[in-house]
Amino acid sequence: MNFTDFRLKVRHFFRRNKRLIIIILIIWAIIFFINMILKNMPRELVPETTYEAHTSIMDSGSSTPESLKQPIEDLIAEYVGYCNEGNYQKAFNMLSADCRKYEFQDKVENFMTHVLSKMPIPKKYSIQSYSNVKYGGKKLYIYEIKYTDDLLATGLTNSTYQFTSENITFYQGDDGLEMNVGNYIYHTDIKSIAENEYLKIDVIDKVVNYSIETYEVKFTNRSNYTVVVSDQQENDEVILRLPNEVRSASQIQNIVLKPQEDITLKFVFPKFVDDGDESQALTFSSIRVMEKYSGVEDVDEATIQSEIDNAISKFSMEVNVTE
Amino acid sequence: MKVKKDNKLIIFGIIVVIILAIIAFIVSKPKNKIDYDKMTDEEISVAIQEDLENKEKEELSKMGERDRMEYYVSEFVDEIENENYEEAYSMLYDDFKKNYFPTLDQFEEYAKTKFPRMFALEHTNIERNGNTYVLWVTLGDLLGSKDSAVEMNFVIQENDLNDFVMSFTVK
Repeated sequence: MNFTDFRLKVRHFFRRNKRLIIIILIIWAIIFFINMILKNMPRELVPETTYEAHTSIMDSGSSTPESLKQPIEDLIAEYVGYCNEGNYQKAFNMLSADCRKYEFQDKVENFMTHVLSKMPIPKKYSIQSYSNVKYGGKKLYIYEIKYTDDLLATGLTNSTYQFTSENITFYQGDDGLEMNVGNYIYHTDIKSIAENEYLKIDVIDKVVNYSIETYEVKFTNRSNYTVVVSDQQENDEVILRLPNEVRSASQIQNIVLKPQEDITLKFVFPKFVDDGDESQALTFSSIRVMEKYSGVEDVDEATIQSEIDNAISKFSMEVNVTE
Repeated sequence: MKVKKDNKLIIFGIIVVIILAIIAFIVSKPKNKIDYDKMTDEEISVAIQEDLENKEKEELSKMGERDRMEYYVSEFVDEIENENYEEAYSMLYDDFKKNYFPTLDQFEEYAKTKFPRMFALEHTNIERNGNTYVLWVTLGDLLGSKDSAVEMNFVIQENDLNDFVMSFTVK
């Protein structure tokens, strides 16, 4: 192929694909000029920062709605202001009725103790959205608030960098934005029952704090025998069942019911409110109806085992706690 | 004369390109250049100062927050090294000044006696607390012995680019 052939082929190629080449050039030119415009657009010079107070740490795609950001900031400022002034009653009145009742037993003294544990002297604070969770069709906005001394005023002279913190929760209530403090998130009535001829178990309610769930449970012994729900002789005597795992109760006491006796107890389970799991059931896995029960303290193993072996009935009971 | 549909598209594309080219030309045109010839010495000095400040802000806007905070500390330290105590004093937080250096003279005396003549800064850690930053810094004396290095904290609150207040651990 000589040069003339090559020239003709190129010319032929361009003639044949003229339209396509022009379109490609136009697209390229459009991209080029748009890029040039964007590069030269005057931009506002603002400090780049990783601090976004209203974007959740647990899920960076989730933020507090624009309309709630300022009201939340205002409520926190007012709350911390009252606490710093020592005006505990006014700060207490800002909390939701549930928070006052279930976290502080409607006693301002309990609230005061809580505040003093977090801010014994007037403090500065900073906030960070921690996570957003749903409960009962409501969205709960959980913030972490950090209390520090006035670091700028001291430059950490004669002190070290330290802070206290707690979770504050906001949600839309019937009368506007409601606020919970002290890691309290919400309360719900469970009213779920499991029963048989020997025992009735009534899960009354559940109080959810940021990292724990507390269940109030009433046990009623319907028999004329001693019923042992828990005495540390078996593994996992009281557990909370989640979709894919179980959690043991922390610090369980011995639960031994005399004939016809009823008792009401609280069980605390470690569980983060924003872990994505919903609690399914409370399981009491080693209930024993004993003809003879000598207890477990200062009693030899053989006696304990013999009494267990001679139990009238052994069973487990599960009470549904889904909301 | 009928224009083919393809040709219409090409003509439309060319028009778009021309419009974009005009916009690109306008936005890329250098902003009003300062005509120093028509200015007094005082105006020139103000204009140069403004230009420098804008350039500094532009540089700061490209920095991450840690780099920016370290830059602010080095600005403070530079002012002390250059004995511009008033400039350094103006960077301090008001309540900090009230607490430790109610007057410029007191700050100057402290800076002269407690800060080295030539600094070596080593930033070891930084923590952010809202819009306040705590920095852990080792302050070495380039003219002194190795043992003379002092560890201290700087606390900085940034309001905007190059707009900040700070405090430091008073030894």
